[in-house]
Amino acid sequence: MVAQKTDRANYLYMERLLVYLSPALALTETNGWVFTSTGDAWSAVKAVGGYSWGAASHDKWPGTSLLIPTDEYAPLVFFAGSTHDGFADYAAFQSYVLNDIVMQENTDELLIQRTGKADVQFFTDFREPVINDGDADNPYNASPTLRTDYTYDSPYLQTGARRSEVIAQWGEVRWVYDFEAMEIREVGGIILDFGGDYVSAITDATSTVNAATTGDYDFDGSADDTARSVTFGTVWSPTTSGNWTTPAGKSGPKLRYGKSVANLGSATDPSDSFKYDRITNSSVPNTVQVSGFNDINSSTTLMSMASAFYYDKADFLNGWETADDLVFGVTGEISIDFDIDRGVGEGRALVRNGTDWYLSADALIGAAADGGTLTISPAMSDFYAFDPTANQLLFDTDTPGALVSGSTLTNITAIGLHMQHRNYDGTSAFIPYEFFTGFSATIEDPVTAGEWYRSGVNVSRL
Amino acid sequence: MEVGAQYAKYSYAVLFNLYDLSPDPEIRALAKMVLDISFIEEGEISFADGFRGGGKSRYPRSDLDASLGWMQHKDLFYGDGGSASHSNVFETSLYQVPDIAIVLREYGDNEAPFLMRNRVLGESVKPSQSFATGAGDTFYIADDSALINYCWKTPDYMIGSTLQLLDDADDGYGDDSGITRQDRWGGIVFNDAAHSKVLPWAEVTSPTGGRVHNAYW
Repeated sequence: MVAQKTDRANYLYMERLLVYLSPALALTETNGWVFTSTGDAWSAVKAVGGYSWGAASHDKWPGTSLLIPTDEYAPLVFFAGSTHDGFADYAAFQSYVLNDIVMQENTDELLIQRTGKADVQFFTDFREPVINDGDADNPYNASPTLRTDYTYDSPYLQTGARRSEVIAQWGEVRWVYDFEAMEIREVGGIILDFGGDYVSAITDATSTVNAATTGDYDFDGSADDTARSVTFGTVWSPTTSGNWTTPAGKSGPKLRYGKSVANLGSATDPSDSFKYDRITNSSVPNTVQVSGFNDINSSTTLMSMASAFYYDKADFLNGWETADDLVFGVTGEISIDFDIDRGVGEGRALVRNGTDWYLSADALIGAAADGGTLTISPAMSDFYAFDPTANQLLFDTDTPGALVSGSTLTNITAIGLHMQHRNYDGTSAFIPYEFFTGFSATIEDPVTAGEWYRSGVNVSRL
Repeated sequence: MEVGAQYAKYSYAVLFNLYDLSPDPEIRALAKMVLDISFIEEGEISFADGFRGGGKSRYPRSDLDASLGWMQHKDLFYGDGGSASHSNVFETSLYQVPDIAIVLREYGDNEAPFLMRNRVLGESVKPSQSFATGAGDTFYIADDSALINYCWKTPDYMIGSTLQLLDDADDGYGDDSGITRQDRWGGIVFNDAAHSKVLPWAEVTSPTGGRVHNAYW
């Protein structure tokens, strides 16, 4: 901190600008600096141009000595530090002040240079200070100066994306004070620290990613999935051929455990009954399709089938793959275009929190030849715990278990969708299909509640 | 305008009344929101006993080691004793501080060092032409005040002040209201038992004390 008596000081007899140091503080004077120590914290103050000690006029504190700058308008430079700032002890703090801080007096300027820090230009003729630290939120870098875009800026109190919103935050809970809506919204599950990952993600994010491929899309490993992936992420451009490419090091959507079927009325293992799963233009254009039962559709047993696709956090782009504790914000959204026809099909959002999987309580229930869009606000929605195992993706909707609030999911590591036909009538002549044509998910900026990471896939076949 | 000031109690009393007594439910809701944010801001910029850091205005210059009266009023809302003031509304209000303010007061001193940069009201501007009649030369408070309450808080100390613009003329640039610019307080305060301080302090010649405007920036 730098303080300086102003040339507008007035009103009722101001004389000098002094420095008060509580008498209880232990003082050490070295090279023009006055150091103080109390507990594990220390301070240093310097009057540029020198100082003396003396009592104040009309002293209210007899015996109290104040630091008196030699120059009435001298800049007074204050530093403070403690073990929490990384100083090992008082000696280390003193060494930093004495050796790592250089103060140079120029005409109408005090230039303060510190090791590893931006220079500070303090102008003694009362011009605005200059701090070339590149921090857009530095009030001295605002335009006009000090008229920042934000009103509140701290880990616990921030201005939202709209100036009418103030966000209070502690740990994983935050309260949005919306002066426009005149309401206070409590939101659970917020990101504590995005760091640089967050910045880079927002810089490059766009709203939607299109993905396309040609030919049948085989998720089973019989074809080269990676080379033709519909990759989940934010930004990359199509190649000149018009095909979308997969960024280096990324893979496409994953079919969780492939798919599963259950023959509920027979000991016959129907696991080989899936006919195909692919991106197709047949039946329903531009869909990722899973279908099956073709070879056992004359069975008299009740059949079930399920499939699930998800995108791993490792395949997120623009730094989000390494971001801490991804969550769904208050206005986050998952939207899935399903077409799960042939009777009793249903689709749900699929989320992995840490290593635990969840399915949305909201579901799109398919009707014959009908599809639709399931859109949920995950932070405001309920989920069921889901425990898929290899080759067993079926979700027991009869005993779904306890509801889990989406706001408690604070470490999102995968986002996807789940489709199933449960207790399908195996005597039907129809082959059950599970389709999805598009999928998107949004994650809210934890700080401003207005920036977005939005990702997804629109399925199309060239 | 009286950020961190002893006299903030006068503003709070009005807000409590709006919260408790306004016949308009929207006014009551807005009063609660303002009070909540105010107590949260108090919580983040204060040590556990309620002593504020950062920049302040109208600090009682006669006793720099004294605790502000407003601390006592705040105590009432946390069940830590305390007392009322010129108005007993502090004791009778039904207002309850928000959870996060309680948590900040209880545990804020254990948090890793952090920075606060909060804009505050207080800059004054000259009347526009539309104010020429009837408003005289009275300055009014800018709604886009270029004042920043800047504070670095650690478990052991706080350092900060009010960032402001300044020149040598009443020209609408860096001109702060009389209350805001009076007896500013900024500097270093330690989290020891006495809240030891290292502060710029404006000396006055009047034997009765007096007040100082624009003492330093």
